[in-house]
Amino acid sequence: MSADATVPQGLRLLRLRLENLRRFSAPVEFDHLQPGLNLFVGPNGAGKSTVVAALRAAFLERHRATTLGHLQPWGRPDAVPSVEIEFDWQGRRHRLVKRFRPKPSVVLTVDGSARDGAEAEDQLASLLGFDFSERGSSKPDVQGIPGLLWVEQGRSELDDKEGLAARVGHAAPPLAAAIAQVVGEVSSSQGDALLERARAERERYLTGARGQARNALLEARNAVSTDEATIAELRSELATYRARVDELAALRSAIDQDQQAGSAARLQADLAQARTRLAEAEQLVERHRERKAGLVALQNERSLVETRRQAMADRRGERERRERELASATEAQAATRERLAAATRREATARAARDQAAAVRAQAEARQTIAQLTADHTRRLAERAEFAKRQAAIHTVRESLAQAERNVAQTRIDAKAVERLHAAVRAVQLAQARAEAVAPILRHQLLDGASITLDGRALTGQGERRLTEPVTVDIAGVGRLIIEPGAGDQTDRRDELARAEAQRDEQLAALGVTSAADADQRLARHRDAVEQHKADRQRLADLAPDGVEAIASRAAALDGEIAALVERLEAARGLMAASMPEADEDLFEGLNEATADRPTLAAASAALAEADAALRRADEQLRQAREADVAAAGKLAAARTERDRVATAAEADTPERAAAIDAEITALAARIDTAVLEVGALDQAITQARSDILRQDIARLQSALKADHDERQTRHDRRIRLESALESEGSLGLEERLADATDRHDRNARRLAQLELEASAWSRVLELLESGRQRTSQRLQAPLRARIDHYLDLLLPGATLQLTDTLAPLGLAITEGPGAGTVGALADQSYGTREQIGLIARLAYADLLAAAGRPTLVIIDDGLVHSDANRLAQMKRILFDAGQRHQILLFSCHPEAWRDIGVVGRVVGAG
Amino acid sequence: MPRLIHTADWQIGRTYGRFDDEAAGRLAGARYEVVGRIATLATQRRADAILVAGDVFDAQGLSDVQIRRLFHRLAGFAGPWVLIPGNHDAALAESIWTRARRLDCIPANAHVIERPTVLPLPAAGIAIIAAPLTQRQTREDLTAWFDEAETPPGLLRIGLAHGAVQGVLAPDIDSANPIAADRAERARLDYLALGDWHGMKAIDARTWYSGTPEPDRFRNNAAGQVLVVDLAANEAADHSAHHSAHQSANHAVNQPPIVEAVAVAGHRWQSVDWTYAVPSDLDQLETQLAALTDQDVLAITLAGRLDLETRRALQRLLDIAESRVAAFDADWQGIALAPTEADLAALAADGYVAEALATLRAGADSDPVDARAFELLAGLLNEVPR
Repeated sequence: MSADATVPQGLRLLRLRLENLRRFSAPVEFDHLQPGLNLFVGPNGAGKSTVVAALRAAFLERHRATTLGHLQPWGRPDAVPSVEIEFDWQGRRHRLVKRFRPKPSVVLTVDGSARDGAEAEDQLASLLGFDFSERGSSKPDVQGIPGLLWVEQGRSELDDKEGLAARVGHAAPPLAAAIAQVVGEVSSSQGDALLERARAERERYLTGARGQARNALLEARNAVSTDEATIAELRSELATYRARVDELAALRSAIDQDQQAGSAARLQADLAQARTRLAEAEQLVERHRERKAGLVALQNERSLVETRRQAMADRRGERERRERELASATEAQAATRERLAAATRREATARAARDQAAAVRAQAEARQTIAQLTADHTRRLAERAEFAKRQAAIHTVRESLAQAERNVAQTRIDAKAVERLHAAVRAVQLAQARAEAVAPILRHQLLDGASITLDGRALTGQGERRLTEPVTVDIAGVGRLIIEPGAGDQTDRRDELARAEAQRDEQLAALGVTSAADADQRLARHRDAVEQHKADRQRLADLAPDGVEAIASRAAALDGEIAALVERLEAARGLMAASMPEADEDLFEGLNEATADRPTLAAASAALAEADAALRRADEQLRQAREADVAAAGKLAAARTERDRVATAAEADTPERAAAIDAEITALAARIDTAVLEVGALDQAITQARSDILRQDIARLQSALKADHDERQTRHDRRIRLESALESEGSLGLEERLADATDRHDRNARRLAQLELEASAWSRVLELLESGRQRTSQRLQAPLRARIDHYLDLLLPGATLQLTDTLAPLGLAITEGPGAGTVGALADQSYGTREQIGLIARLAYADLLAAAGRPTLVIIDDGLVHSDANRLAQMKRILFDAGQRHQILLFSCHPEAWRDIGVVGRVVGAG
Repeated sequence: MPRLIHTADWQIGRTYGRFDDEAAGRLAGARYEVVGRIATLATQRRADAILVAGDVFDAQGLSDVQIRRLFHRLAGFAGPWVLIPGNHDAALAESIWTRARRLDCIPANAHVIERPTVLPLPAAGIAIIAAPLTQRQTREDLTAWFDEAETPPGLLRIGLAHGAVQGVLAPDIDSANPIAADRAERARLDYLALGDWHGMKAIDARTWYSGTPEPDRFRNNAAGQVLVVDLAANEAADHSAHHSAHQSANHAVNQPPIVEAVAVAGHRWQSVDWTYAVPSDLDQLETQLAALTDQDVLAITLAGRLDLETRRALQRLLDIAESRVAAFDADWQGIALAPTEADLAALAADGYVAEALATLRAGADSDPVDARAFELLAGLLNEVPR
């Protein structure tokens, strides 16, 4: 494609004139339209859309269309809307004049030759690449290339019916033709239809991507596997059937052989023979038993006779023995009698010795008793003397104690009363002192030798006296002076003193003393008496701790003990004298002194014990001797009796009789020998007969006979069962059914093979068509992709637009720069981006169409309003670039936005 | 001069899975029909007996109906039928024969011999020495006892057996159930009637295979006939004794039988191999197929590389032939589709459809799927409007 081809080769609108269209009642004309970009500007409602609508109506609508009411000028339903367009195409000047209802007409003049009506319109449609709708106004599905390149205001690029993809689809045939022309390669003209058919055909056999069998193919497969199963089953049944037939033949043969061979009869004969032999063997046993019994009887008889002979010998021996026993018993009896006499003597001796020892011991005992009693008596006497001394001391102390008690009683005075006496004395002294203190003092200073008397007592020299009482002074030669102390204090003191003195005197009287000193003396004496009494009591307690009575009773007890001892001593002496009548008084008297040659009590006791033991031994020996004597006498009597009995029994044992017995024994021995030989011979015969084995033979043969019978019975039963089973199974016609099943299987298998081939072949066709279509579509996309890339590189460097089979934009892939490798669906892009991509795609299609020599006119009604400044700048470069190849009519209500587009905007609605 | 009809291998109950249901039923029925024709022939020729040398039934396990139907067909001949079991219908402990007896459908004039036996037929002037198979297969020669078999004097000795004559038949014949090649001579037989081999074959002057009366396979082996055997009359009253004294002189005394093969088959089994090389091969095939009738059973094996048009023409020819014959089987394995440039051009495919066609055409030689896919795509192109 020559991208730099200049526009005049393509379609170029030159002039556009509208009349009676919507807001334009008066004719409006745009001339000198430029080959590239043309910008139409004006505010909303100025009539830009009316211009676009006029263009669309002029090209795309039938002039007779009844649905174009919207073109009517406002308020003038009778007016005739008309559009006049002049354009160049392939160097030829075209002039289109189209009027709509109410007076429709169309005239297309090409280089001066005019056509009108439908012919003109069809020529126009062929030229621009669109169709007319069957009825009504033009629909997107017939608008073809204009539908793709003329961008309407406010259309979403994603709209199902009028979006970019739909528009591309509607323009598919001319686009495909253009691509084929550019690429020099065609897609298949029938491809899609064939694909659909092949898909449908394959679908008759197989379904889904994995090609699962269905319909006839599935049925055929099932039929074949059913047939196979049936055949296998029938074959197995047949094999069983045949095996049974064979078994039946074998059974019959076996039964025949049984009958011919007569195995049972042979077994019977063997059994009978075995039984006969066993009977014979049992007879042998019976004979053996009889012979053996005879032998035993003979042996018994012989032992009987031998017993008799033995008895005779025994009796002879016993008689001799009894004689010997009698003799020895007689001797023994004599001996025991002797021993008895000796023992009697020894016993008497021992008894005498013992009586002596007993006497000696009694004396010794008496001596000891006397000695002990004497010592005891002496000790008690000493003790009694001691007690007598203590009783004397006690008596003295008790007298002193009685004196002390009297002293105490005599001197008894109350210590506290003494205290009070002292207090009273001191109170008198105090009262005197006080009385003196207030009393007038009488001083006297007398001439030497002069005297006077005071209250009768002479005073001389100097002195003084306190006057508590009225005093009488007698002066010799002078008369008398009575001096009285004044009243008041003086009197009170005197009363007080008098009371104190009275109280003192009362106390003295109570105590029975004359003065306080006297009282103190008496108190001292009382205390001394108490001390004395206390000391005496202590001494008495020391002398008789248990009391005086205890001392007295102890002394009395001692007196009693002493008297008792004396009594006992008397008795012991009497006893001693009695036990030794032959002993003299001297001996008795001198007991205590002469003890050296006398046996002690211990020795006498030991001697007595010894003599007692000897006596007991002698007694025992005597008793034994007596018993032995009695026993010997008994034995002797018994021996005599036995000897007499044996002698009587052996009276018949004669030598003749012994000889007869010997002869009898010899005869019996000969008969026994013969019988033993016979029994031995029978034993051997029985052993050889082996009756145990014969019995086993019989058991074996019997069980063999039974087994034989059972086996034949089993065979017979089995044969009958087999025969009836085979009979019923035979009529099932197994082989016939197998043959039928095999035939059916063969036929079904043939049909299956055909169907499989058909299914595979359709799959193959489909696979080839699909892969071919895929490849072709990729090849065909190449030129379009190049044009898209041409623009996209300006807008979104590094991005690639993905296309659908039908060449519509599908998604945006970032292949370079940031975000490389991400793919986004077009639908996910922003509205602005979608609009920009849509415009780019349309420009690319336009390039493709132009390269194929198709007319291209791009109309953009108020586009790119959602683009940001940067994108818009890029889109302007793109549009300017596209303007080099296509005439572009750009309508906008934003003149300032397009000021730098490079062309002067025409103002719509200005005039 | 006794006259016998010798036949064998009726294979009643055989099925034909390679054909469709209808044709298979027709062929199975033909096996009964030929028995009726044999009976008619025997009556017409005044035969003294009909000998059936084994494999009367194709299998033991046929339905009762089939057993009854067969014996019913014997009614066309009033003389004695002598039948022995073969390997397909061996006289086992339980067999199709014991079932037939239980069904009580064996006519009185039919002698089924299930054990090695001599069956004198004085009215026919013959004694049958039979060697029926009592097992499916045996390795011993069941006719060996013929040598010692005693027959009543004055009756011709006729052997009846089923098996493979040793050392004579093609090596692919199973050598089970062997029969000594010189059995007729050794056993002083006037005729030995054999079955098992489905084609007609003379082993020697007195030993014959009759073959099956109704062919059941595509083998050019003279099947489809029965033998009419005219025996020389016995010359001496002490025939038997004479023989035992002079064995080797036996055949000198009695002339060999006169044996005539008579076609009785209902169907001809035609096996055709056809290879396409030049266009006239198709014409030649058309001529050949045109000669076929509803008595023919056709198996055709096809080979060659065909363009689309020839392929269609061949299919048309065979469709016509199939409608005409009794049974039809075509093997297309050898056919490779070789569409020509003209074929492709005629399809007027463009773009990737043309590519797909070219791919399939290249693969059609070796891959049947591609070949069929080509046909299908071509068919679609013819249908889809451009």
